[in-house]
Formats: sequence, C-alpha cells, structure tokens
Amino acid sequence: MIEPALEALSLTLRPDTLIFLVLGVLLGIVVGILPGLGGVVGLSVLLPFVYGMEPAQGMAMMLGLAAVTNTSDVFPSALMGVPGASSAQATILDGYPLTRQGKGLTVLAASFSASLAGGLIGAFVLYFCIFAARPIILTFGSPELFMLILLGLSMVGVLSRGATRAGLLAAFIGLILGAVGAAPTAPEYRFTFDQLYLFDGIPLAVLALGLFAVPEIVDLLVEGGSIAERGELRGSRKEGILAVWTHRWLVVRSAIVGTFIGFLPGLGSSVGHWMAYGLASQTRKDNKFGKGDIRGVIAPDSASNAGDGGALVPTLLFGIPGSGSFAVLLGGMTLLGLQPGPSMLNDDLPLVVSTVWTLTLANVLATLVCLGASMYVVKLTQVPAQKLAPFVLVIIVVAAYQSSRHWGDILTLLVLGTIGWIMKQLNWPRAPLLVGFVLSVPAERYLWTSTATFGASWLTDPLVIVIGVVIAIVLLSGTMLQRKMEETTQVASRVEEPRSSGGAST
Amino acid sequence: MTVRRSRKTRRGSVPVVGLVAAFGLLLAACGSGGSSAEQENGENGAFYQEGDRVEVVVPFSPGGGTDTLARIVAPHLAEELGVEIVVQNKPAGGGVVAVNEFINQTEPDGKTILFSSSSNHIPPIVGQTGVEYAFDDFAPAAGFPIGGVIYSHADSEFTEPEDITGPNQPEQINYSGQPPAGGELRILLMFEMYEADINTALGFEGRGDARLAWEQGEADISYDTTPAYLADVAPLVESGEAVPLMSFGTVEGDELVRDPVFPDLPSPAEVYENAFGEEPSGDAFEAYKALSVATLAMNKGIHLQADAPEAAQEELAAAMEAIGASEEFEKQAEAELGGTPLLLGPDVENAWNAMAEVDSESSEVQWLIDWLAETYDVSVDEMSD
Repeated sequence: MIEPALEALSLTLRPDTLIFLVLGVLLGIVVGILPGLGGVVGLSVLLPFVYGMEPAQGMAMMLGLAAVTNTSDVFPSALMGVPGASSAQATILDGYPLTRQGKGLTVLAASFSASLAGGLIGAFVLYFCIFAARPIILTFGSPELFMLILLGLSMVGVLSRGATRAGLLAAFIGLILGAVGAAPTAPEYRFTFDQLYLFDGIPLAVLALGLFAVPEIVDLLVEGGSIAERGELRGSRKEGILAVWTHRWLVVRSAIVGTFIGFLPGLGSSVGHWMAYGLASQTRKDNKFGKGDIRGVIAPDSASNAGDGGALVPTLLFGIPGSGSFAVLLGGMTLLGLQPGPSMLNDDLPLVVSTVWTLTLANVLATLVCLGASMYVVKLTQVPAQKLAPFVLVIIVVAAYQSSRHWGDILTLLVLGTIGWIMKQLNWPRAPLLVGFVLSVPAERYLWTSTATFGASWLTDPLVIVIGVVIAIVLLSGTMLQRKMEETTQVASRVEEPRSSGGAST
Repeated sequence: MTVRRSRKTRRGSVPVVGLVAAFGLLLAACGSGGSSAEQENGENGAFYQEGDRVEVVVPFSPGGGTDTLARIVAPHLAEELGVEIVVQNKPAGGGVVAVNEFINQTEPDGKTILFSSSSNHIPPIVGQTGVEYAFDDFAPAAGFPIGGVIYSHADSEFTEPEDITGPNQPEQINYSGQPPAGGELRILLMFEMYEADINTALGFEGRGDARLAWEQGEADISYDTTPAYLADVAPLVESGEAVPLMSFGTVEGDELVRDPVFPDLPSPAEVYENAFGEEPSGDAFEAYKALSVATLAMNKGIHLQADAPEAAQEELAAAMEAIGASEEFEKQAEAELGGTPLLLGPDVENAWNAMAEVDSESSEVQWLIDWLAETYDVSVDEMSD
C-alpha cells in the first residue's frame, strides 16, 4: 500500500505537474471568492484547454481548482454574509456574527485551517477507501440514502435554536419551495404557474443569497457603520488557528461526516456541511451557536473540504459524479483519455493515488495563500456601509443572475430577500428553510425509488433500522437541548443583553 | 470564458482543414449572391470576420453533456471561422427558455449559434406547453448522434436478448430509471413493444445513479449511452459481471438496423423477430423509431436560425464539415460521442426533417401520448424532460 503512494508522490511532485497544480489552485481561489461562481464554472472554463495535456498534468490542474474553491468561498460568506458556493452556507450562521464583532481575521484563520485539516483528512480517507470503496458504496441503496436524508432533516430541530415551531414551519416551507419545478420522480412540473422560469425550480444560490445576503445588507445600511460594528478589528490569525487546535476532535468528527456524505453519490455537496454544522451545534457546553460561535465555522468548513476526498471516490470508481464540480471533472478526465470507472484501479493506479497527493498539496497551498490574503481582505469589514453596500449589492445581484441568466433570478432574489428580511426581523430561524430546500428533492426521490423497488419491505433492512435509531437519538438529545435553550432564551429576553457584549472566544 | 482564435496553428491536419475552409468560403461566396450579401460580407468575401464575437448558446448548465460537447467544439469553431467564441449557459426552463429566446428574440444575424439537445427536440414533437419554436425555425449545421446498449447481470435470469420479451421472460423484470420522458421513453417503449412484464422504479437523477441501482441489484436490466457504456459497463462485461443484450439500433431510411459501433449486438427489431417470429410493426414500434431519430440520431445539434444570412449558414456548415473531418476533434469528442461520426450536410437536414415530420398530430405521437397517460399517468401538457 505504501509503494503506490510513493510512486504517485513522485508523479505529483514533478515540476511540470506542479506548475499546473499551482495554476489550478490559483484559479480555484479566484472563482471561489466570486459569489455565484464555483468549481463547476471554473472547471467548465478549463475544459477546452485540457485536451492534449498529459493526464497527470491535466488532473493536477483540474483537481487543484476543484479542491480549493471550498476554501476561498469563505471570504464572501463569512466577511459579508454573502454565501459564495453551496458549501459555505452554514459558515454564514456563525462566521458573519463573529465578523460583526470585529473578529473577521479569527474567522478566516479558523476557517482556512479547518479547511486544511478537513481536506487532509478527506485525502487520507480517500487513500484508504480507494481500495475498499466499491462494496461500501454498493451497500447504500435507495432505502439507506433515504434514511440518511431523514437524518439530515432531523437537524432542523437543533438549527431552530429555541424557536422550534417557527423552525419547523420554516423547514416545511423549504421542503415545499424545493418541490417547485420538474418533479424528481415523474415528468411533471409542480407549482410553476405556467412560468417557464420556474420549470427548473428555484436555484439554490438565489435562495441562499435572498435569505441571508439581502437581509444582512439591508440591516447593515439601516444601522450605518461598518460590518465590523465598532470599526475596529479585534481578531487575529493566531486566535483562529488556536481555536481549530482546541476543537481538534470536532474537526476530525466533522471531517468524517463530510467525507462520508461526499462518498455517497446522490446526497449533494451541501448536505455534508449542514450535517456537520447541525451535529456540532448540539453541544451543551457554552452553546453560542448562531450568535457567533467559532465552532460553527470550524465544523462546516472542515466537512466541506473533507467532502472533496469523499466525493472523488464514486467519481473515479463508478463514473458517477459525487458533486457538481466533479461532474465537470468527469468530462475533463475523458478528454485526457482517462476512463473513470471500474477499470481505473487496474489501468491507472498511480494516477488514482496521485489524486490523494494533489488534494493534499492543493489544500496546503490554498490555505497559505488565503491566510496571507486574509490580512488585507478583512479590512473590507471596516469600510463604512454606505460605501461598501452598493458594491456588495451588485455582487449579490450578479451572483444570483449567474444561476440561470434569466430576469426571473433577480425577481426571485428580491422576493426571497424580502421574506428573509421579514424572517430576520421576527427572529425566525432561516437555516431550517435552507436545509428543507436542499433535502426536498432527494428525500422524495429516494422514498419513491425505495418503495417502487421493494414495496414496504425496505423498512426492515438492518442498515435502515440502524440509521433510524441514530435519528431517534439525535431527535431526543435535540429536544432536551431545545428545552434548555428555550429557558435561556426566555431569561435572555428578560435581561436584554447588549448584542456585542462578550467575545466569541471559546 | 472566451476562447480566442489562436494564431499558432494547432497540431494536426492544418492544410486539409484550410483547404476545406477555403472551399467553404468559396461556396459561401457563390451561394449568397445578391446585394445584401455584399454589404454584410467583409473585404475577403467571408461572412465571419477576424475579431467578430460569436456567442454559442447552451440551454443547459455548465458541466452537462451538451455543455461539455459545446466547449470541445468551441475552440475548433473559433479557428475555422476566424472569430472569437463565447459559450453562454442559459439553463432556465429545462432548456426551453433559451431556445424560445434564440428563435423569437435573438437577432438572426449569424452572431448567435445554438447548441441543442434531445431535451429541446422532444418538447415540440409531443406538443409540450411553453414551447415557442418549431423545427423549420432552425438551420441545422451539424448533428451529433449517439448510440446505446442494454445490458444485464451475467448471473441473472436475463442473459439472452430474448429473455426480456414477454413470451420468453423467466420472471418479472425490475427496472430502475429516470422519470418517463425524453430518452428514457425508448427503453419503456421497447418493453411495451416486447409485451414484457416489468416493475419500474423511475425517479433516478441520471443514468449514473440508475446504473448504480442496477449494480446494487435493485434492477435486473439497465442501459447506457455509448460513451458511458464503454467507460463503466464494458469493464464489467470483460470481468464477467455484466452481459450486453442489444443496442438501441439506428434508423436507416425507415429501417431499424444494428448500431455500426456495436456490429455484434442485435438491434431491437431483430430481437423482436426472434421472439415473436415476425417483423415488428404497430404504434409502439413506430413511436420507438420516431423517438430514436429524435434522441439518438439527432442527440445534439448546432444551429443558426432559418432566417439567418445564407452566407453565415453556409460558412457554419462548412466549418462543421471541417471539424467533422478533423482527427483531432474526433479524438477529443470520442468520450462524448462514443466514436459515432457527425451528421453533416444533407444527412443532418434529413434527420432534422424526419423529426419535423413526426408532428404532434401524427398517429404514433397520439398513441405515445395516450400510452404515457394510461401506463405512467403522465400528462404531456405538463411534461418535463
């Protein structure tokens, strides 16, 4: 097992391969920073240039790009509350409040080092899974996937933070919004009101931007001042990196969740980081989730980078993309003359193993670059809102318009932005809505295919029962935590704590 | 997202390509004639001029099959036409919005080229709501055909092609697939034609997920289009885990014959003959053939509007012929097309016209619509693809 690893390392470290890896990483950082663009767009742009390259070089460039968009997309989401890609949505919940407390640098440093750790764990898992993956993936059929989606939905309770009824309602609205457009199990359109724009459903990016980015920017303008509330920066990179070290087990746990979810084709890339966030926020110790808890940054970001390693497994071994970016990667691999699929392990073993090294190097490189840049980028949070907001608004609108290049994107953004703002004013939790939306289509799909294939007998499948028990435990502990939080919320509302008192150090 | 024309010549058959392009230009110059052409065309008589910016519209998301193919074609097209090409993805409305816009709102000035797929071709055939275009609105320059193979587990009850026909099937067939629309209808129609007893689970997101369900044993039978079959299933055939049963065949004239990429696999018509002792006929078979043309022979296409300048149409067609003849392109596109050559010149027009003839009033389409409603509870008015 060691020998192929060393052979692959020498393949990755060849100067000509390294150059392309660095090129891919730098490109990836840029597309990651730009909200609305992500790995999918970045890789699509690379596709025409890939043909004719040596497979190792082409793979290094494409994977380098794909691996780091999840690292740099934290810049807009944590600093401005603008969700970059689908993998940085949960980061907003705690990253943005921390930034408002002036801790932008801490958030970025924590996020980047968590991303690095997650990416490395994901690469490590990838290495060992390459050889054992087929049987594991083949174990998770439609019924098991459906149960995992239910597990994701059970996070809604804990994401509601003391407003259980509002949270549940938001989750249901999310499920219904997810049902708009082409149905997953029948060639029919639902809730489209004969508007062609709605035939493809509401784009996830528009929903996330509307729910989170628009309300934040409106409130920022109303309050005046700058994103960092007192105009001063109180965080440091050291603090962020130390926080990741303090919560190292959380990093490992989240990375494993992220890798595992990424590993299973059909769950989508944003599910893993939401699950990691949900699981982390069930802690009883000093729970400040949603108001600026550094653990709310560390958990989702280590999960999303670890997810890449996981998602690469089905992509390489089954030719089934584990995420949107890897769908494009698959196209690029065939352009390089590689045949992703079962024969990959025999024909191209060094190349397959070299992907592990590529992921590792790309993550290290991206972390260094982003950490270096964070010093300067964080100063944006000191810019007065009146000057910053127009630019951010333009970014939000352009990002939303990338979804389908139809004026409906902008109208939807406005409508959802208003809804998001109202929810924010009413203190309704918005995260459950997004989780419901993300899980709506896969939940319907796998419930339908399970029942169509097995009737009711899938309910007695051992693995289904195991996951069912896990869901019960999560729900139960969530309810208990909920009671505790509701008590504290009541106390807090009586005491009326000033908002920016108390730092976010943990 | 811009592909600039490279001044450096690319590897490969440059002289030949140059010759073909020159011939194309000649054709274009002769063909266009008239006063307007002289004004439209620049100094050297060509419609497309160095430095022109041409938009290629892809009505689907980046990274999909159509997008990947368009991005492989784009640099070649930039080189052949001597222009700058920008690929634009407009995925709204299942691909219908972008095509409506291309036909009804975009100025037909030759500067916007459309890349279409079978998801754009089927809606007008079945008369889907929201479609504001018809086949004769397009000037197709090339078609990209694709084939496919139906396969099963080597250790299952279905190892001979005839085993999936009603008279010979040893037990009910479990089949996992995508929702009953578009290309997925082909195999469902085939089961209908074979009077087979099937249990379907139609809800998978793509063929990849459906294939995984087959590998997991949730399904007995599965299919893939040629590129995916070669990459993901052929290795399983080699290792003795899977057996290919038949190809989808290709329509030649009015006959359903073997796919030339898989000369050893029977066509669905042959399998029918072996099982039923007579040639296939009837509505299911006719509908199958119509769908074959729409989803396989013309799986993807590249077009201008029918009222675009003649010179532009001819230069684009000539450019596509040059690209079709380029070995470099053939290699690049192999993974997307599975080695099937492009439909060019009169062939693409024939295939396009064949689709146009299958209008929503014809008996096989009416039968298809009724059958979908009865068997799968699908109403075509609300159909998505």
